[in-house]
Amino acid sequence: MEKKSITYLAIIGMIAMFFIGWGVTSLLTPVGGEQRATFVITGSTTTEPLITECADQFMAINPNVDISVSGTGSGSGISDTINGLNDIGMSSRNIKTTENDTAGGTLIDYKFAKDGIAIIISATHPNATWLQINGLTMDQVFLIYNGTYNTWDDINPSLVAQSIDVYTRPDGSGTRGSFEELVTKDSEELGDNSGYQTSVTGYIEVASNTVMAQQVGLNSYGFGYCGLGFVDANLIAVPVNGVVPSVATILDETYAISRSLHMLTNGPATGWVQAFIDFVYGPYGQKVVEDEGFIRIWF
Amino acid sequence: MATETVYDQILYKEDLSYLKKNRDPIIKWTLFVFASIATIFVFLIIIFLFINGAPFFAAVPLNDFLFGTNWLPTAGDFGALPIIVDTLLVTFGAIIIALPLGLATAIFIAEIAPPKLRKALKFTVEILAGIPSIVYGFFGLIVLNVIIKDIFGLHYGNSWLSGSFILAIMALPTIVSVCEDAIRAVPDYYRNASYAMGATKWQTIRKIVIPAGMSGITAAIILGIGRALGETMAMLLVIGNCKTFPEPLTNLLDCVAVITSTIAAGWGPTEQGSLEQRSYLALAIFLFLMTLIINTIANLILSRIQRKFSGERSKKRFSEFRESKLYKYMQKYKQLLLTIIISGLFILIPIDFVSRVIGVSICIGLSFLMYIRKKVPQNKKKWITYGIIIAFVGWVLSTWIGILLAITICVLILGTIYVIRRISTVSQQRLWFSIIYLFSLLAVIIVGILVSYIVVRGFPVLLEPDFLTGFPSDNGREGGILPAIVGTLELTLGSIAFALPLGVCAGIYLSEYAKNNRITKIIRAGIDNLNGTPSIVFALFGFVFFILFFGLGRSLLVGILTLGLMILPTIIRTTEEAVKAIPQSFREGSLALGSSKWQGIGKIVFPAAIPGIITGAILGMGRSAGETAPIMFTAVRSSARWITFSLFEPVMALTYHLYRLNTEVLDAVDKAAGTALTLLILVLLLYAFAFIIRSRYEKRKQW
Repeated sequence: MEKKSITYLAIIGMIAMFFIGWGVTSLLTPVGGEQRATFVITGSTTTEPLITECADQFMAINPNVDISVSGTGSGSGISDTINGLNDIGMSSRNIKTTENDTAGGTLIDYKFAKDGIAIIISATHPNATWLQINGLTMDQVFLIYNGTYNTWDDINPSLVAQSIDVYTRPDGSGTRGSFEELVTKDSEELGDNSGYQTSVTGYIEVASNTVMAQQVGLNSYGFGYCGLGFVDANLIAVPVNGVVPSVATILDETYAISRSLHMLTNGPATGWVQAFIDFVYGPYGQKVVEDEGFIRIWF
Repeated sequence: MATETVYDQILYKEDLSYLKKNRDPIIKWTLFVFASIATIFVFLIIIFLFINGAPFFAAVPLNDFLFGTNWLPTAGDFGALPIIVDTLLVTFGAIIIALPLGLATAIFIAEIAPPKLRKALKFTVEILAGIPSIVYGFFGLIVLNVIIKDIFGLHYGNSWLSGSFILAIMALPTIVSVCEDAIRAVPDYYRNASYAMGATKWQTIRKIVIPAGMSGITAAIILGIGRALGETMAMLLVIGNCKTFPEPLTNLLDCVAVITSTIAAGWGPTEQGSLEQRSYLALAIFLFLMTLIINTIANLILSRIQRKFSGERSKKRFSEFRESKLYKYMQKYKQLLLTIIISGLFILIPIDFVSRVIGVSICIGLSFLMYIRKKVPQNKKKWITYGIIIAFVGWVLSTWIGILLAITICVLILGTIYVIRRISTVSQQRLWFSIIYLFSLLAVIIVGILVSYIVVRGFPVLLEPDFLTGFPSDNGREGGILPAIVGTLELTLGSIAFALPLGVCAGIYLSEYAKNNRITKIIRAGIDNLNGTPSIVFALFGFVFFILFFGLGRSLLVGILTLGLMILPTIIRTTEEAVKAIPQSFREGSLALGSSKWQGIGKIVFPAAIPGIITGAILGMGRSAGETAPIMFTAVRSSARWITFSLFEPVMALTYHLYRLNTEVLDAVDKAAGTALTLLILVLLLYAFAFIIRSRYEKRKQW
């Protein structure tokens, strides 16, 4: 028994030593010089894959830099920037004035990409061709989203008499915020804004653009919205107000539902942070923007 | 040594042993300090959640929160009723699926299976408890939802049914192991007496063993409910998160939302410190209170079983209450009371008039039936119970398949029961045993499908040259998962390094030194309850406490602390149990030889308890390796090009990487399967290690 307990104690002691050593080295490791320069980016889940890829490429060129990217959602990305918990915040919606006020007006907003929010239905929808040709009006999109139209034949009697399965993003999501802001703004003339806020619960909520695209693609009667770049062969992006969403129509702003993707810093960026922002604006960064399905801001 | 006589030794060591005895108070106080730190953390979680949630409850009337039907925090609507009801429905569905499977498996393991098969099955069941929830989520999303969509011809597969099914598999290990313990706790002379009366094996199980183990089975159900209530990641992926009631309320195929997934999806995007964010804290508090109640009930029942079979009498305080008039009145009119309470609930909650009338009339009808049941002779009583259950099943069925078909099915079921009761006892046993075999087999098959799916899809990816040793690129579509493996190991080892010293000291203090007074009881209750608290609650605590309150950034350190706190109660509890399991005679023997209390504990009790403690620690490591929710907001990053060991930087983790591959990068299913398999292997290795230690320890045990 005595021997065994010594062995156990020795093992525990060794493990403890290991951790103490780990803790001490991690505390003592200086930043800079030959060591890594680290900085943190948090925020929008829509923007996160794009920035992650940019960061990976940036780190491949600058091996001394270590950028940590986390997708936490637009709201907490902005709050993190305000509270100094990150170096760059990502947001897929516009910064609220309240947020800028909290920060004391020091937030700097970098709009580094554009994104059209496509209204999507499945390619297997029985009336896919009709919808692709005739499209929907902004009012119709709004009336579907606020629950006034429950079945497809509510929109037009020639459509199939099946329920419209509306997909949305979680409350607070930047994409959802932009979508609701843009869709309801044009629906003010309906004079019935009261219905908007109360009836949009109860829709299927999906975690990301990719899941939205996948789920609506699988559901013949689905209706949803996602970034234009996520529209694949299983989906049809429905023309809105007669305008087909495309890079051209989003850039000349004839397609109404579009937004910018933002990077934020609290005060002017310096050093590697500035270099990274420049990289995102530069040719490599903008190529990633395009590859990940968003629209570059210059050509 | 050899040259010294025993007498020399005693002379020589006399002074020293006196000194060593003097060490006792120091050690006691050191242990006390550690135990208090652990306890303070435990209570800090509760206090911090409430303090941070308080502004929400000040701003939003409780009535709006509990009975409002619209959950849209950004618009100022905080009605959590649909989410709460959906949570209960999903959990209820899970128990309905898991109970027959779990109970049958438990009976099979405890009563029927030959010893070798029993060991193998027990091992499988315990291993099952270690499968990370994100892996279930992956399976549910990719396989189960598609199957459900196709079978029922639905528009989509995200449904109450798929949620309940996944939860049922997850609650199965808890239910099986607690049921099995309950059945085994029934003394053998109960069985022997039954056999002596000429009963068959099935009759003994059915009439003696199950009724005697009933309270344990109830506890198993309650613990299973607790497990199901707290599940986050799988639910987030599998159910559709629609914050409405199913339409109609019995529609198993409708999309639902649960509290945990609502918190996990909503917490990140909200503005920090805003009322919206606090609304999710309020949900977490509600969930915490729900699990608190459930765990308390389960613990009460389990301690009652111990008393029942050890022959102790119930507590005095309770027996006084039992003799009071109030209790007698309550006993007499408990049915009426229940009816009034439940009907009142139906009237209070804002549902439409017709549903209210239906709810209240069902309540009154049920209590009337129970009243009649009391009046009918003993042998007819069962039929009324059957009638009620089948009427319920019929009602549920009729909302899907029409009244006529439902009635036909109900009549068929009743007929079958009638026939079964008429056939010979031998045939009955054969029939029931085959049902038990079938259900146990089904449980094993379900697990088999899940594991083999992941192995088949993931194994080829593991063999890819760069997968285990490379860095991810193109958002995880290419490259490997080395930083994620290292990150998970860092988080796991770190959390155990944080929790083990605290937990072991607290456990030893609680079992050996703490006086059996009220404070100790409160501490123990706190620890017991945190043991079953959902991981998402720890996630919010970690975020609010370490990131917002202390201003630590999202980092490995915060992840370690959050995970460590999560497994701390488990470690305290296993330590306490391991130390308690050492026979009292060990301590007495040591004291009789003139040792001090600590000498006895440190040299005799603790070394003997070490294998038990290590088992607990490894199980804790398995749990922290498999958790996603607590690190999601506190410690993880999306990609990495470095292997870092710094405590102040975020790390990659296998669980979160898998979550990301399920939500952001859907065209990399193979990589996701590979990640899932790696995670599975890592966690199962830890679990297998724990079981090997345990079984070796049991073999060597000499008392």
